Amino acid sequence: MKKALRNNGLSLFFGTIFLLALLGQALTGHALFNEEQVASGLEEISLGQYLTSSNFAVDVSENWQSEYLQFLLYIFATIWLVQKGSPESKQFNETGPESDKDQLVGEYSNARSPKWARVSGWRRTLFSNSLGLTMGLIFLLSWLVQSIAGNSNYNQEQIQNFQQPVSWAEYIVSPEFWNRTLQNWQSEFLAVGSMVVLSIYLRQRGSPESKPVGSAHDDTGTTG
Amino acid sequence: MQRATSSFGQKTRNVKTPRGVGSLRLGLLSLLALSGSVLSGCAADGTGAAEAAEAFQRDVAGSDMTAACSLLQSKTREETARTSDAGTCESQLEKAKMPDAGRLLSTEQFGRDAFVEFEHDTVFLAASNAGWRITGAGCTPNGEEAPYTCEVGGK
Repeated sequence: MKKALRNNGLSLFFGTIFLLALLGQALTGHALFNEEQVASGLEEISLGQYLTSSNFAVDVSENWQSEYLQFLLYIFATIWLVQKGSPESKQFNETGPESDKDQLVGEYSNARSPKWARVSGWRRTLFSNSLGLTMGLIFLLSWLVQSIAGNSNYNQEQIQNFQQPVSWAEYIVSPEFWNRTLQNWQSEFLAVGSMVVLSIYLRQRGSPESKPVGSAHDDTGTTG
Repeated sequence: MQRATSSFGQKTRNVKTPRGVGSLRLGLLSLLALSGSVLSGCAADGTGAAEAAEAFQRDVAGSDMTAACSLLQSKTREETARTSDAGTCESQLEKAKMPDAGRLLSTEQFGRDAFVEFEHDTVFLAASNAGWRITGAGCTPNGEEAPYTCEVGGK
């Protein structure tokens, strides 16, 4: 048990703080929603009703989609693009999908390689891209949920303001949808870009996200 | 609004992370649950809202203003009474130039709000614990973006 906790400390830590933050978002979002309901002369709703509302769904999904997009872009961009001095970057001569030997697939696989890395054909191709595909799928699903929930939430506000509701097709080209989307994207892109650049010159001793403290600023792809 | 987590390092290249797969499954399930709740919320057909709107139109047409007023949302009812010279909701409804609504054309429900269109009228509703209540009736559009102007309730 103790060993299992230690072996999975990182995923358990982030899983736990994710659930706590989601719970906090649910409770504070419910309180805020009811404040606005009362201010508009409408009745308060239960926590259960709030958790199944489009208001909660759009707030959750708009953040999820941008996070998964961030990692999706990072996964694919770092295949081809390099950054001199960044521990997040590959070496300059490693750009591209790399050789089968480097990637330990097919004849270069070993006894501990996953089965689909050993076989050839569509299974190897799928497994070779499974991380990016999965992140991309979650991004698209989250963005779709954002658009549907956002449309419903926007129309509730429209009706409360005695304005005509809009269709999903109208909503996805509306300033509302793109403002929600882009305000999340810009912060993700800034954070990733900052990480790439700051890790060239700054260090965090002991973190694999940083170069070793004594590494030269122009050392690329080394981790501490 | 968001923070950057950064497990970007390439050093995880050959590390197996079975727990990560479990977390991913959990994440996907959460997403599906979120999608399900959103889609089920959107699937509401608005029948209750349409029935309340039709009942209101019937009561007004039949001059049963007490029944009509009981279908107004509480804040709307209070404001309607306040704007009446006699100080009652009923007298204000009698004075209002409510159109003959005609046939029900469409109902759109989003969560706890609904928009019901008749041939010659548009009605706005909100859900309450007692059922659907009218927040605006006798409403006419004022262009694409502007709020409707309502004989009863509204802005």
